[in-house]
Amino acid sequence: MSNPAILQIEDLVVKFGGVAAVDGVNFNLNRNELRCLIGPNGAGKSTLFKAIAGLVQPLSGRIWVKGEETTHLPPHLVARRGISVKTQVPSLLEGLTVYENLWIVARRKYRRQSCRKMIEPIMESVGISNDSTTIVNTMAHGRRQLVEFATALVARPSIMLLDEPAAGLSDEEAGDFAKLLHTLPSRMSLLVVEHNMSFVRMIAQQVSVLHKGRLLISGEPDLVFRDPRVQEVYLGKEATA
Amino acid sequence: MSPGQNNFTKSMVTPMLLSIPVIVIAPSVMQPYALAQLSIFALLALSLGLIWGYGGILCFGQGAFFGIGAYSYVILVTNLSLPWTSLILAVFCTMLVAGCLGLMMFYGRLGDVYLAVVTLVFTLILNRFMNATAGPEYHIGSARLGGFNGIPGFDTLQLFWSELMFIPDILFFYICFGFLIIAWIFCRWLLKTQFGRVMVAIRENERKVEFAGYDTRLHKTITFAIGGGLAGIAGVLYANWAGIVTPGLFSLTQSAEIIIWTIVGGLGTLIGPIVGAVLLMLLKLLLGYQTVVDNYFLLGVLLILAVLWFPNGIAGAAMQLKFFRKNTAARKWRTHSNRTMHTKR
Repeated sequence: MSNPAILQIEDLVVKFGGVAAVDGVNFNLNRNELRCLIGPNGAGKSTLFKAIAGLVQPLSGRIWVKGEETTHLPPHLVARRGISVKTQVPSLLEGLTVYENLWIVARRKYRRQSCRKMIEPIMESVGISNDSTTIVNTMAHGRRQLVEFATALVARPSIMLLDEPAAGLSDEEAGDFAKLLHTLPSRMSLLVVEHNMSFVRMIAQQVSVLHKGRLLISGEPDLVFRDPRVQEVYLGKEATA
Repeated sequence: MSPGQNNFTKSMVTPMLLSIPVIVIAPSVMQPYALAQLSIFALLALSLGLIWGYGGILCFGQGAFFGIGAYSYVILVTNLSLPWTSLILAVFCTMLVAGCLGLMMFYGRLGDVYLAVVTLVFTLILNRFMNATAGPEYHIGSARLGGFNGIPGFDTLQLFWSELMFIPDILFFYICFGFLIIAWIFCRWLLKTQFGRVMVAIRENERKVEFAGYDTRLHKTITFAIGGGLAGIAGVLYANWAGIVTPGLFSLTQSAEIIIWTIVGGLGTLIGPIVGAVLLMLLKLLLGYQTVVDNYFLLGVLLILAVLWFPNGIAGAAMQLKFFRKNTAARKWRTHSNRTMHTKR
């Protein structure tokens, strides 16, 4: 039987100076899974995210993507293994148009003639078709989030890492974004770092909780949110009372 | 039409059209000797305009590549006695040096400020070193480096069909201008290729381009080497124009001037650095007739005024004029490369 895990993390340790931001995390993301990674500030979520993307080098431990080790690969080689990243603050090619932003990503993977065919359906599905010729640094934050999401999608990744996709979005926009995530192709696995708990409840199939660089618990959302340890470290003792 | 189709042909149109009046009118207005100098410096400015304006790499060492091109040519031609072959090899040498320096800087993940400092120091080191090579022990083959006196008296470029040992001024101007136009067309074409578009994308957001799977370090190294190669061509032509190469080619003044030409002309355009170099060199020539105020003081003042009043340079300001503006106000954010990327879909 084939390994269902598309992303495997084994005993991962990332230290900054003497401080362990990620401290021996073991973690699997299965194929077609949408997992949310939650935890209080300083729990190590973003560091773990960066380590997977190749942005920070772990001190020890290993990371596999589709059975291939990516632990010490630079970001562009991690991306070539099928990982797309959407950062918390939209990271875009600011002086270029929406189409051009998508073209740069699509062109690395597809032939020149195929790019347009790849880009247009994604712009349509994300709802940014009318912004095709808009320069991205003239767009509102919510629209920019969608553009970055589209650039992540256009690479047709196996795994998509989303860092706080609902940050800065209104409730309505966050709701729309959650619906958008549910329309994604089922072959794609998503790892979402998020603070917005109502958004997590809307999208998560599985939830993992990080606390002080360690994985506290993983499981289905209802089970995780009811766990007294999670309520204590993440929601606060007052909230559990 | 898919992107890239007929790119090269289209890249040729504007430079060819603009070059016709220059070829016809300029020799009757100025001395060909001065025109050749302007063409050489315009090519030098274009080299920085490409790597800084489009690649986002601020290089304080463009003067160093200019000097390396000139010295390489002189050393090669002294040893080989083959001027045109030496020209090609000298440009190759300059690209190699620029590529090696780029490899160290970009794979070493140097930030923008450190990159500027490294290129500045590189220029200073070369300047100091070449000044200290006056002794007879400093030679490469039969070419003595000559220290602060430089290397005079070498074979210059010759015409294949002529017995003359040198090229007449007017023909030399046409050769220099030809190199400038070819380099301009090459840059325009390059910016329309996938490589050129990625180069601009890296300038906009390097991390994003990495996330797309491109090796930005390699792209930047190649961009840097191409810029070095263009500066090297300018250096070779300068050696032929001046008939002597000295360590002054590696001076900070030279490198700073290239930056001033590029900023005043317009960063993020190809025509801007060319216009900047020509206008400021003309101004320098005119100012050369007076002794009241130092030339470089006036150039410095001009740079400050240009940055304050025309942050996009002469070319940028011209593009914002209604006559040139075709689309929207947002266009000011865009560059030549950006525009073509979309219109070619």
